[in-house]
Order: sequence, then structure tokens, then C-alpha cells
Amino acid sequence: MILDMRQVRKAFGGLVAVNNVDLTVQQGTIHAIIGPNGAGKTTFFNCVTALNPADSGEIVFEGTRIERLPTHIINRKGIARTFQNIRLFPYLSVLQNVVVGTHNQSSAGILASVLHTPRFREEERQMVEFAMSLLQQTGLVDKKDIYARNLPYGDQRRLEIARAMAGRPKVLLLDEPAAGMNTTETSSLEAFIRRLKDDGLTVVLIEHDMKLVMSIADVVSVIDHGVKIAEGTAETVQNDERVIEAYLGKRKDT
Amino acid sequence: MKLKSIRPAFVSFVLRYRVPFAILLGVLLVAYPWIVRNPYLLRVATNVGIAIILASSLNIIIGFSGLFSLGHAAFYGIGAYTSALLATRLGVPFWLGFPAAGIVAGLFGTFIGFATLRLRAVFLAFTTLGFGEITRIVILNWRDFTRGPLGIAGIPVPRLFGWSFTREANYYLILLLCAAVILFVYRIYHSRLGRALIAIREDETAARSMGINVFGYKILAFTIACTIAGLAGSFFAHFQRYVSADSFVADESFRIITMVALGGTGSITGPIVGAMILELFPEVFGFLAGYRQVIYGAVLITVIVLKPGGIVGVKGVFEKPRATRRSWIAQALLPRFNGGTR
Repeated sequence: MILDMRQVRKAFGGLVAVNNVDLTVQQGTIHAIIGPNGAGKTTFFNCVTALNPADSGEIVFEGTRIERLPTHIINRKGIARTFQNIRLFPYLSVLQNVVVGTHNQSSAGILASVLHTPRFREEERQMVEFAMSLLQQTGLVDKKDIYARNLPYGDQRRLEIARAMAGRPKVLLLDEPAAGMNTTETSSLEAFIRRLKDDGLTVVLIEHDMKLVMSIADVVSVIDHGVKIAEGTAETVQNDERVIEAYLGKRKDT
Repeated sequence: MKLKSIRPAFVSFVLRYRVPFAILLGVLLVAYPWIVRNPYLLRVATNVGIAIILASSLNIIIGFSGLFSLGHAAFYGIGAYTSALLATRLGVPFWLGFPAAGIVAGLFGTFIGFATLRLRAVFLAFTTLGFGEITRIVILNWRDFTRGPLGIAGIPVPRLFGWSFTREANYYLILLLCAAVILFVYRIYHSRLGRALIAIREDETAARSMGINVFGYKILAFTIACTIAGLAGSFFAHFQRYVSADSFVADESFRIITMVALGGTGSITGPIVGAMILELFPEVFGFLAGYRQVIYGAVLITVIVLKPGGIVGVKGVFEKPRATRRSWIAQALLPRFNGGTR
């Protein structure tokens, strides 16, 4: 396993958003987290990336505990994420957004930047080249020079993934990547996520598009009211009584 | 889809012939003392140079990092006093006092940064405003050290190999410093550091999630800006040959902010343009001196309402006005509304 969360708990005042959840993500898998709105899925991501650090519990990434580390260190260790309510840098170009994502891959300091040392120039060239290759993969090359804020919605979602990939993460946390996408966009997203898996990346995704989840997820965890109520392959979860209850309500006895 | 930027015709024109323009500008700047042959105009140009350095350094805080400092003049003053005291009390030459002034101002900046930059941006504004006042009051009242309201007179002009700097030499020195600061700021802007700062300005949470140490970079940006202000102060002290607390009051901080806001936050040329306009305005319209504050206020409000990015700011020139933008009321009410949502 690459990411292991034990008894993670997070409360906002009296509301327990994540209630002692255990979750294990295996290396190289696509792990989906589903659940009704407000179930605590995004809070769970925020606990992992320390944007809202967990109140208690352990989060182990590649054998080391990370629950006390600040967000930027967690990113450097190899966990990148996207946001449900897109958070691009609106007044940076598409290319620049991705180049910012390479931050943890570069090291130039003030002096090198001001003096334009050969090492600095080489590093800049590599970062831009790498960013361009990511734009190629996400199909955004033609739009590299426009402001991120002027991109259509679907492209903004793809740009967020490209930017997260720029830090060469080992685990990618995607928060509703298909939200607002049409069927064509969703299927190209599906192909893209599969390619990431083939490249050895571990993907954890929160998603409401069940068709997408059922077709690509190796493991599905279902969270409701901050509690994990089911886990397993797509079929097992689909037939789980508690899952059906969480989504549709209690079955009336006949 | 094409790049959605619209440049005014003259900007495109200048950009197309940028090499000849740069050479022409360089020649003009170097020949300036011989062209004008006038001590007053030389003095004005030197003051413009100091203003450009101050505005460019404040732009690192306001324009790049999206922070707000209301006490930039305090760091300018700390630099001036450091250099002045070293020169008059210990006989330290300008060439040592100059870096010392930068270091001392930078250290104060680091200290203020450490104290406030973990908090929301507004606290930095309050703290720097308070720090500016404290600095002024300390200078006025610590008579044994700073000579209080008398100020420090008789600061020697810079000397090089036994030769004292003339007015012309001072002009060339500030020209060189200006060029160095502008180049420095430009290269910072187009580097990993600059991108990190801009990312912090655009979206702090996203920046943090991209592995950017937000607190560390904010302190770094603040320290760099304060250091540059301190260096400008040192030059000012040795050029003016007299310093007093009157030069470093809150009004001066607001004047520098107005330069940045008027010229354009977040661009390299913006603060230069703003500094030139605000520095030259009182010289040309001296008869309006009594209304200066009123005019500054009116100018600032006009710019903020009509062109929030300033004259050459990123969000001003490069954004299609109105056509692609929601009304400013909608923008204010829905700051995170990205548009195009289905």
C-alpha cells in the first residue's frame, strides 16, 4: 500500500465531517471514493493534504507519517491534488499555470535567477519542456498562451490535472474531475486516467459520475455522513444494502 | 483560439522597434546632464530615480505577492538613517554604509514579516502602518542617537579614490542603481521565485498545494523589498546630505503606494511610469501644491474605478474591458465565479 489512513477524524464544531475512517490505497490502483453530497469526501482529501489537518488519526504515505506535515511538504513528498471548485491561477497563462506546478521539481534560488546562470537557464528550459509535454497529453497545447480564466470549463478541469501532474506526484487526488463535463469529455478523461495508471501512478478520485466510477475504479469506497459504509469492487459496492440505502433510502418491506 | 490580449497601438509599435528604442533611451539618459545643463533638472531626475526604486520594490510586495504594506517609507528611512549615522558618527564610507543600510532595513523587514505574515493579509497592512509611525516617533525622540527633530546634517557625498561625487556623478549612480533594480525585479518576476509569488497572489491555497512554501516566500518577498528600500534610503541620505524624520512619514508611504497603484500593480513598467508621473507632477504643477493630497486622492479613486490594474498593469491593459467581464458589482459579489458553468 502507498497511502494508509487509520482512524482519521475531522470535526468542524459539532459537525463530524470525517468520523474515524480507515482507508488503504494500494500502489498503482485507481481508488474511487463515492458518497452522497456532504458525506465528507472533500474534507477527507483536505485532511490528507493538510489544508484542513485531521483532528486525530494517522496518515501514512510510503511508510512515513505525514499527518503533522504542512501542505507544501506533503506535495513535495509526492501527493498532488485538484480541487472540486476549480482553483487555477486565473491571471497566469495556461502554460504558466503548469510551470508553477513544477515548483517542487526545480531549485533555482534568487542569485541564480537574477544572474541567469547556465544552470538556471537549463532548469527553466526543462521545466517549460516538461510543462509543454503535459499540455500535449491533456490536449491544451493550442491554448497555452491564453489566461486560465478564459478557458472553457472542461479545459479548466484538465488544466488542473496537468498542473497537479507537473510536480511528478506518486499519488494523484482528483476531486470530481468529471463534474460539468459532457459524455465526450468524460470518456477522454477516462482514457487519460487509465493512461496515468499505466504509467504507474496511483489515482484516488472523488466522483459522482457512477458510469465513470464503475468502469475505471479498481476499488470503490463509499462514505456517508463521515463514515465508511462499504468498500470493494464496483459490483460488490453496487449490490451493498447500505450503499443503496444511503443513496436511495430504505427499501420498503413488501 | 487566439491570445485574448489587446495592446494599445503604441505599445505594439514600441515593442516592434524595441532595440532602437532602448538604444535611444539609453543615449538620452546618459546624455541627460549635458542636454539640460541645469542643476535643478538634474536634481529632479535624481529624485525620480529614487522614486522608481522605491515604487519598484514596493511592487514586489503589492504587485507580485498580493500583500499590502503601508509602511514602506519606514524601511526607506531606516536605510537612510543607518547610512547617515554610520557616516557621520563612525566615518564609514558610502560604499560600506550602502549595503549596511540594505541589510538593516531587510532585517527589520524579516522581523515584521515573521510577526505578521502567518496572519491574514490585512494584519500586515495594520502592522506596517503602525511600524511606520513607531519608526518616525523613535527617530524624533531618541535625541542622543538620531538628534531628534534636528535631523542629521553634514552627511558626506559618496567618494571614490579621494574624489567627491558631483551632481552629475550622483545622477549616474542613481541611473545605474535604477537599472540594476529594474533588471533585478524583472528577472525575479520571470523566475521560479516570481512565479511562486504570483501563484500566492492568485490563489494561496492552490499555491500551497503545488508545493510552494507560502509563508517562507512571503517573508522572502517582503525582505527583498525592504532591503531595496533601505538601499534607496542610503543613496538619498548621501545625495541630500541631510536626513530628518519628515522625509519618512506615512504620507511618503502612501505616495509610494499611489505610484504603484497608478502605474500598474504586478507589471515591471507600471511602477516606473507611476513614479515618474507622481514625482514630476508637483514640479510641473507647483501652483497646485495646496491641493496635492486632494488630487492624489482623486487620481487614485479614478484609477481604481476605471482601470483597476493601473495605467499599464496586468489586469488593465491585457484584459478586454467589459466585453468579457461581468459588471464590477457581480464581480464583487461573486469573487470566485468562473463563468461558463453548465
